[in-house]
Amino acid sequence: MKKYLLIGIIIIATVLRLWHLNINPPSLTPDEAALGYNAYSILKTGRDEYGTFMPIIFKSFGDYKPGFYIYTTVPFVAVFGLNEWSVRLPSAVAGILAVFLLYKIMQLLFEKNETFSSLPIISTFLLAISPWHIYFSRGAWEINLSLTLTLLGIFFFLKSLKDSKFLFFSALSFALTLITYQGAKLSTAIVILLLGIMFWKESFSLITKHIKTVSLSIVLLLLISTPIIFSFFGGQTGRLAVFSVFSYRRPTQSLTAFLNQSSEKVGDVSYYLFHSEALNFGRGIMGRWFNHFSGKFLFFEGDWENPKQTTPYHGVLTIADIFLFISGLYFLAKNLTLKNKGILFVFLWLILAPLPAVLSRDQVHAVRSFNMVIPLTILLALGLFHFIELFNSFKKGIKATCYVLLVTCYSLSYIYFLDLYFVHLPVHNAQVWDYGYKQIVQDVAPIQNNYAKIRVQQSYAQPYIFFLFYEKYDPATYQKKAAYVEGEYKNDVGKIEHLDNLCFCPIDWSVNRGDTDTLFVADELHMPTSDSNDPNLFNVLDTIKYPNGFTAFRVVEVKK
Amino acid sequence: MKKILLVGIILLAFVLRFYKLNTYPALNADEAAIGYNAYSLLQTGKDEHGNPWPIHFQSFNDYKPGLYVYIVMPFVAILGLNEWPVRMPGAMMGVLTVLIVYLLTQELSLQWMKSLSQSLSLRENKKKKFLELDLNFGCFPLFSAFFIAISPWHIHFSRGGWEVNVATFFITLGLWAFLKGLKNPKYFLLSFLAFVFSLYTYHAARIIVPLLGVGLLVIYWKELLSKWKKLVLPILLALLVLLPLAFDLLGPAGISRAAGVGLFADPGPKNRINELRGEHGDYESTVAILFHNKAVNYGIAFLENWVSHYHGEFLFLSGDAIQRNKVPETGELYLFEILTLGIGLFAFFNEINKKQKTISRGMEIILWWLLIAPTAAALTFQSPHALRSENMVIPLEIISAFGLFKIVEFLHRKLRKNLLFTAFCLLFILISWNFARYLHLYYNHMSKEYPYSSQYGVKELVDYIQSSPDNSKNVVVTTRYDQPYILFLFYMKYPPEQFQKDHVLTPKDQFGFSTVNHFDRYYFQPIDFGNLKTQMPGSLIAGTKEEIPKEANVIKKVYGTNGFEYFDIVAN
Repeated sequence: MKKYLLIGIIIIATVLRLWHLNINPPSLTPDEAALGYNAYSILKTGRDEYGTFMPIIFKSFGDYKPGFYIYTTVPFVAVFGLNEWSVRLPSAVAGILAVFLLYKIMQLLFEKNETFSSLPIISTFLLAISPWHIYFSRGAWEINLSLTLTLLGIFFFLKSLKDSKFLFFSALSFALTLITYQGAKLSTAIVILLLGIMFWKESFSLITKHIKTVSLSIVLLLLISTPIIFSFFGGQTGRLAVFSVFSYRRPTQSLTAFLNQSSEKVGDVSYYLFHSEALNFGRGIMGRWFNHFSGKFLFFEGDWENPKQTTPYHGVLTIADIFLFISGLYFLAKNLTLKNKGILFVFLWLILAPLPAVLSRDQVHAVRSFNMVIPLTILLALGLFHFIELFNSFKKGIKATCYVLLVTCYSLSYIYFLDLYFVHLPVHNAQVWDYGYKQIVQDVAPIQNNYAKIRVQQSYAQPYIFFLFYEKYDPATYQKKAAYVEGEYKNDVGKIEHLDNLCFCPIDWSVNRGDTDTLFVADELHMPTSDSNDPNLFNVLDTIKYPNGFTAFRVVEVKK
Repeated sequence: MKKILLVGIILLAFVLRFYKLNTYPALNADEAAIGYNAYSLLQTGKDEHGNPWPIHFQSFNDYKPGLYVYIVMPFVAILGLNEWPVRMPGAMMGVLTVLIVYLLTQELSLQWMKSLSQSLSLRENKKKKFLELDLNFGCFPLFSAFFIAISPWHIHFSRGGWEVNVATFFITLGLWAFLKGLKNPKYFLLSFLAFVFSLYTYHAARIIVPLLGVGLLVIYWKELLSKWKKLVLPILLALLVLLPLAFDLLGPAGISRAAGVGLFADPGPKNRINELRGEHGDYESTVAILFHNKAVNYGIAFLENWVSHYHGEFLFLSGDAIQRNKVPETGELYLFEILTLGIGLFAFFNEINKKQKTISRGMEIILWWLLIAPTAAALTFQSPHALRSENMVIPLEIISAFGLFKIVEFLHRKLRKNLLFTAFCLLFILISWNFARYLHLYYNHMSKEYPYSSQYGVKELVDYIQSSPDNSKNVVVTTRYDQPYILFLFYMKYPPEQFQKDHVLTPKDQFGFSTVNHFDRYYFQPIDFGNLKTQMPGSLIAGTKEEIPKEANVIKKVYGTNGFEYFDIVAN
């Protein structure tokens, strides 16, 4: 019975993660295109776009991407060719795998407890349909692969408590998370630390009895993470300073104004008591932590600071999950004891999982806090489990009514999510997903050689990578002419300004509008329609529109 | 010992609520309206607009629930018309709430103690444990009273003529009397009357109290059923007292409030419906209409508002967004309560698990209250809203106190004497530091950080105008700061019968509020200095610094008690 249920759940998970994967989200992001093209480059030449042989960290736009996702993409590119599917499939497959792994982990965590026997299947089901998990399974999100590897690590660790040889695999999985996602350093450390503390007795006996396996595992872990740790000191992760919450102190001016209200100064006793910088950071950090447990984030708005990371007008959970959340919290409190390790692990992980996001500058961040999705889903599962237990204690008529009510409420709110994700997201968020570059390449590629110069508006969307990706530009040729330009600011990403006769540069229409033998691709802001639609002077080859009908880009030729 | 401590806590509550009560913060327009309407009733038997003995006071056309005005009336009769009689009853009931919370939690813990002692008697060292338990459970009501006494949320709304705080007092009293009534039915009458009075005092209570009643009914239905004979009379009496309110709500009072601040006044969800329907391609398609309509979107807005009251940012860090309701950098609760409230909540859940029904039910009603407390606020469109959800402070602080009690009990059980002393010292320092920080921010920063949160400077302005030698000149006052006319009436003790005769209330603005632009020789309007100069020769013009040009003949600058410059007075 359980077997069939599990298979059913995995089918549901698969459908939700693969349906329309190539067209929703509506466009490849520059990062996705870069992952894909680098995988293509590795496949063809064994080198990345800058000609480095099999790097562990890829330079890409100057953001230095840890490379494991790229290497997992290579076989997909080999089989399916270079397209949206092959770039996004690794994450989708990882997402489906995570659903299965959660089942295995829950079985191990709660195996001693007969009363919780249905918990693994419930948790698995809720993860399969979790809006948060679906969101990051759809699209080349390195964090999702990293989470699946973390789950794999946990699974093997729990296994190793009985058979020490699994510890080796556990160490391998955890180490791989580090070369999958930049932020995994902290989130993986949290998980390893928690496992160590929770199972300290078992860990201790592991160390004493199987010292060889343990030391081998540790060596492996260090070996794989070395490049990441070196890059940490080598300045390649300088972006850390940009993102850290501790880089942002209060502006002196507003602080002084505030202190002046009661004639205080920096350095006074009352300053240290009531207004210190440490307290201010503390309040900021607590605020961020609370944000990740706020109704706004969980149920209503999702990641309200980064629309690319959230379903429009929808939280990272469904609205009906409010009730599972409350019920789960209640059930968790009832069962929280030092002996009940499964529950304790879920509780502690839930509290600590948002840390990578909490310590960064954004008020809320659905990617950096993504590890939360696992303990959170288990919490919801506890809530559902509690509801079922409660309903079963009722008389027949009431019991049936309760079940009907629960199923109706939950389905309705889930359908609402499906509508928002599958119908609204591709329309509503096309712009934030950098929609339009594929269409640009399709327009420009066939006529590229007809012009001396093609000016494509430069932007943070890194237009060059879309040309490489969709033209399947020969990597060996490109590696020779890659012309990377450093970003303006320290630790900022850089850019590519030239590719053959393509120029990715700022367009100043008042100056450039007379450039003959040139093709222009720009949005309406940089190339005003009113000033570029005179058929005597210009030839508008195409107007690329967002799905909601607004103009994204226009392709315009200046007549001779 | 317990009694001395309780007296100490009540004294502390008293000092915190009465220290500088008449001057800090400055009186706001709503408080002035309460005071002046009470004064008007005393003098003429009618409110400021000439309505005889109203149940809702028309005031700024916001129809204020009237009980608080009637409570203020005798104080005005004795003390005259000034800040004290307007604020004293509110502060006093704030202090009384501390006592009622003590009694309420004592009632709860008595139930818990009885059943706990039964279960403990099975154990070996029962005597010793029971003694400790007694000591500790004695702590819990004291902790609760103490937490209410020092609660930033409760202090804020105790200091001033805030109707909501009185409603909270009545709700708490009603709940306590109800629990007492389960043992001694005589208390039921007190309970029901207290609940009814809360309905006369504040809008939000009209939603909270019925919901709380439903909770009591579900949890205690067995007892209530067995005592139904003794319930008939109190219920009939309560209904009788309720009748006038019910009739009054059929009039303009009922509609005006809901229209002004209700959820449907918020255009956000409506815009979202249109946007989302558009994204379906066909705006009129069945699917689009089925998924995106008023029921769905306003339902979601309500839920979002409701949940927002449990956001840690609101509770522990920054409080309400509205300046009048907040202290800078301060949450509605203290920072240390993250710990006590968290533990308290888990402990509450944990206790419910136990088989003793009597324990559970006391906890269930507190949890139920916590759950429903923000519903009224969630039906309006500024959320979280500390004022409208103030009753939430009672269940929160009770649970928080239970958390502290659990911590103390745990330390007591686990630590040896020296360590125990150190741990208690640390706890004490943590709480004192938080408390001191709150007081510092309240008294030293609040009025300067939020200079427009209350009507600072108006009293000084009225004093100056009244003391100026020429008292026949017209006076023009800016309307930049809320409703100045009522503060003028209040501070001048303007004869109500005269005001009732010669004033006009303006039509409602977009939020449903009205004001008075002119009475006697006083005019209230935005200052357009160029025009006024020619229109009103020989008048005194009081405008903001921005409204008065530099070259004008400024004869006086008026500062508020917080040192801010509020008015420049020009002799035209």
